[in-house]
Amino acid sequence: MSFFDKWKQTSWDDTRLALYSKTAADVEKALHASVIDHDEFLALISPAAAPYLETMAVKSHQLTRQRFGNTLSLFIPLYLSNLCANECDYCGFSMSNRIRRKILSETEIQAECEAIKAKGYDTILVVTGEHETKVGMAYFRRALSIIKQYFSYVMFEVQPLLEHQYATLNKAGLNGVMVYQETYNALVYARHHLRGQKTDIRWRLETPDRLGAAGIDKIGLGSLIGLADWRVDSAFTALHLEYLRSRYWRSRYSLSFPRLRPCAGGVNPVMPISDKELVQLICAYRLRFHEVEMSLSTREQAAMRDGLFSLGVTAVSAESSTQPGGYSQPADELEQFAIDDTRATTEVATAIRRAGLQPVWRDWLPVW
Amino acid sequence: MQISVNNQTIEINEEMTVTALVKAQNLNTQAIAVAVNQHIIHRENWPEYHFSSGDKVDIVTVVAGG
Amino acid sequence: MLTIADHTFHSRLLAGSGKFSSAETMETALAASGSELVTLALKRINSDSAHDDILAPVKSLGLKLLPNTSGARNAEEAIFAARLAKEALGTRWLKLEIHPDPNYLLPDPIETLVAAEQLVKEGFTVLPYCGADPVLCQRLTDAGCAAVMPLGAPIGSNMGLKTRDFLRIIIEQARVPVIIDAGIGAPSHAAEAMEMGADAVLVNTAIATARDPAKMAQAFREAIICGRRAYSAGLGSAFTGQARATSPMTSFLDTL
Repeated sequence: MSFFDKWKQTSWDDTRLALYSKTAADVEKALHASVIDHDEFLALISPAAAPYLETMAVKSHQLTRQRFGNTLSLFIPLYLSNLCANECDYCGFSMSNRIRRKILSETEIQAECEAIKAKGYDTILVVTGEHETKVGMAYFRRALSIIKQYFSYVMFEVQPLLEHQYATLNKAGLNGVMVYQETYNALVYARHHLRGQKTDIRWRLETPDRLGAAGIDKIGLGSLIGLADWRVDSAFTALHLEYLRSRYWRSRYSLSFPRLRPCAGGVNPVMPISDKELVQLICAYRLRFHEVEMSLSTREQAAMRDGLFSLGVTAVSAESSTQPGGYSQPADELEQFAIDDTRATTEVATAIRRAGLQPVWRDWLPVW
Repeated sequence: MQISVNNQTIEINEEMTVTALVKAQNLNTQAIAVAVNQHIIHRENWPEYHFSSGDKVDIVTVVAGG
Repeated sequence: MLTIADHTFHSRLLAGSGKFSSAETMETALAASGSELVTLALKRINSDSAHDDILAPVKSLGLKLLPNTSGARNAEEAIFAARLAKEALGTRWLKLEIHPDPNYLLPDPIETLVAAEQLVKEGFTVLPYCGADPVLCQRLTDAGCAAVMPLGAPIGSNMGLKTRDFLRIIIEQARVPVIIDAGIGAPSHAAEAMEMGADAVLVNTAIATARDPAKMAQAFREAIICGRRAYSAGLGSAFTGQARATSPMTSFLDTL
């Protein structure tokens, strides 16, 4: 039994119907409860909840501060490679894209780590394209041993691996893994993932199960907003989280809500989300999952990010470069997608303080 | 020879089986279990099971309880 | 309907058979309780004392039997008791309880987990009596227990749900039925447990020692039905005097 079975039993269309038939009364009921269930969550992400945005925001703010205090964590992505053996029509790293390909050498990884460390970061998200033969376990182990010398909390966003490989990396100091499903709609998934291992939806859906079984400390979920109906995809994401946190209860969880961004040769969002709706989604996640971490990338514009600092997110990146080598030797033509908030780390930290929060660079230290 | 039954030492002859012991103790055989040296002797094996000297026999039954 | 392992029950009341003044009183009380699962204990036969035949009344009511391991002080004794119970009663169902402390009869979490792991391997349907400790309940569930039975208060104390805040967490995290055991002294306590979302409660002392056990059993039966109905109807939460932000939290959206 894995999430794949649960996913198979859950109908996309039934979920959509349930969601769009929610009324103001359903929303009010959810807003009055101290703990809400999946059905009440559906009400909060439904169109019926739009007029209640301010109430949701106030509750989300309170719950987040109560749980996480007046702090906000900062992290930064470190791109190691843009090689990819997949063809995904929304991503700049797609194998058929004629961009310059690069894998950072050990010396280059060190240079990147030093450039990032100088900015003050201690939590890092290591990103690669998905290329099993050239950027696989052997490379990950070498890279991790270098990166762990600089940073205490290291997360990966790379191709899905096997359980024993995650266990090996866990022992070598890997703390978290983000694996975004992109979409839970099988047809839409097939339409956007055209070649490579990523076409196997089951392999991807079961990745968080493997992470949980391997005892990874933090597991990150999310769907790529813009591919399919974000409300239904978010409902599935919530189901996925509910499933995982009851089975793999020793792990922490993190949610992301990346909006499809322009990239070299990429498609435009078919079903975009408005700024208001994104706020609604984040607040709904918080009301449903009081303890979940939520991270916000530099895909969003500065004013939006500043507003969201107080509304449920717990970790933000800043000054991100989405290309391998981008911190020590920037070259735009390698990037995965264009970022929007281009402020320097110090400016973002100032904005966080202005929101009444303390920027936290290190919120985790290995004790044993 | 001597064996212990529920922590009381008794004298039995060498031919005695579990079935005979249970009968000799005048027990209602419904809902009881017998163990010798902490090993359960299944009911179907009672007629053939012979004791050895010094065996520690437990015979339990069901009582009221929460 | 309550499903534990592969068995479905209509009643959410588990009844204990102990402490009744006579077998007849027990039989009428059990009948009035509507319970379908009744706990029993094991005892070494002592030829000096006569044993009430408690099995006949329980069987005549058609109740499913749940032998316990009371008296066991560690995992080894509990595993032995479990095997004896299976042999004596022909059931693999077991209420696992290990209490080395003779004063409060509080369950030993470490021995209970060790015994549960072994007994699940041997094919028992294990329902462990345990402290209201959410992590312990997770570990017992991981071990393969068919339900968890956290205590509301010390056994026999009639104090009610003293552990309610922890029971709430256990219920929220549960992957198996949560049966609140011990401490439930009044039908209102049982109703509260059901309103919180507990799957069932186990009551013994409060029924057995009432002036009229059959009438008290009936009262518990009704309280549990009421509590469960309220839970499934969806309880409203108490008004918390929601604070309003001085400036709207979402006004930044207007500037985008």
